[in-house]
Amino acid sequence: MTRLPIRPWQAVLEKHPAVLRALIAAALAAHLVGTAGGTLPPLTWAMLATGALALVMPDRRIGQALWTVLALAFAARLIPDYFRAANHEFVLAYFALLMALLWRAEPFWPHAERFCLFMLALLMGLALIQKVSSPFYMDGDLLGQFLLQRDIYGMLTPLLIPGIGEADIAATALRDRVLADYALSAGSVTPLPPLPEGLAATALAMTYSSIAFQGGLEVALLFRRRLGVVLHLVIVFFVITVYAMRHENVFLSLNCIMGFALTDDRSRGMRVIYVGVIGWLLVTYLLGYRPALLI
Amino acid sequence: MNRQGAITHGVSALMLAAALIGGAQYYQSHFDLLTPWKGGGYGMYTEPHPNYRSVWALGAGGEGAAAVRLFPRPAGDLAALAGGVIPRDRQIAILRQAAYLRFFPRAAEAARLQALIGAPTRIEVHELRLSVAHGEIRTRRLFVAEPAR
Repeated sequence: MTRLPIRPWQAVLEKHPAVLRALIAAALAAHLVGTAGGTLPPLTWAMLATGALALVMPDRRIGQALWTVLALAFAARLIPDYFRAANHEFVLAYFALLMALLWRAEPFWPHAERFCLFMLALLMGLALIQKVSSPFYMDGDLLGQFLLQRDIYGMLTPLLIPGIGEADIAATALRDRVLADYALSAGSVTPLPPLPEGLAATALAMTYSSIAFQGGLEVALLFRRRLGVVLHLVIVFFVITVYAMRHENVFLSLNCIMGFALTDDRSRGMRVIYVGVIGWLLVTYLLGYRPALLI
Repeated sequence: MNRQGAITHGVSALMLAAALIGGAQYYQSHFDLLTPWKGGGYGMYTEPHPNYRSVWALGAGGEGAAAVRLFPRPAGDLAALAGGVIPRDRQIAILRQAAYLRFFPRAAEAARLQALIGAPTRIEVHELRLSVAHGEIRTRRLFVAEPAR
């Protein structure tokens, strides 16, 4: 039976290499433009032009050479100051290298899927290990501090934890006083002003929920074939949860790209959702737009 | 090796590199002073943000000398520490280097900062932890670089 050619909008529902490549290229470009700020430096222009040229180049050998140059540029940006580079910048560099490796690969998808499964498992697994091995995190201090200083759910917490606004002001003033005093900053223990009831318990509950969820996601990756669409709902839930708390759009778009690469016939409906979420994350990242409902 | 084999091996090498970088970052952030927020080990949101690290410069007198905070928000008399007026470009370079130092305090980075200041200076990096569970702010001296002789 002759198969009808796939229309562009249908490609999203198929395992079409061009869609995955376009998503990766979009994330790389958004990162380059977003981190450059207002005026793009010449190197950013050169990297964007190299990527655009690679995408439209009819000769795939030249396209692959251009991707190799671009991937090396991403890696070269990281190497000298790796201790200043955010974690998602490493994932972006890996994806740029993947594009160079797979530009002429036929079949493309099995390699991309293998890499994305590994990266998602590595990323979530290492993040889980880092959390479990950090007493600061496991005591609920990290999320407690974020809640207290209203770095997460800043609009929501005053409704659920009365008095958090006043506690935030007092704690911030104390923190600034400690930071401004050499002797206090060099080694001291200073009691915090009274904290609202329920803050520490909320933080601890959120901490253990987060650990359980992240562990669950690792297990879901193991049983992904059996779980089908459930795995993807878990990934999207993770993305939405983090999105509601922190401005990590590029990192979250990479999670969605990896999720997209893991879709199969049972979860093909998720592809449109992934593409929509990635588009939203990258466009709002570039526009600097954050809906202020939950944050 | 055919093309398919080369691609498979290439992707495997990339995966191995990602795992090694992640492992190295874990080691450096747990057994050295690299902040878990940076460096490719996915430890962001586990420890205090690097902005909770402060960088201080002290004159050759050590702990008794006037301390100048270089990060965050500079405070103190940097010119007195350096023994005279510091040109604006050098001031910017000093503050930038101090900001870099907080991510991964190391002797080489501290020596660069000392050279920029241009006078015998002791460099310290401190860390502040705001603990909701224990109801306290705890600080500690994370790193010290004595003045170059």
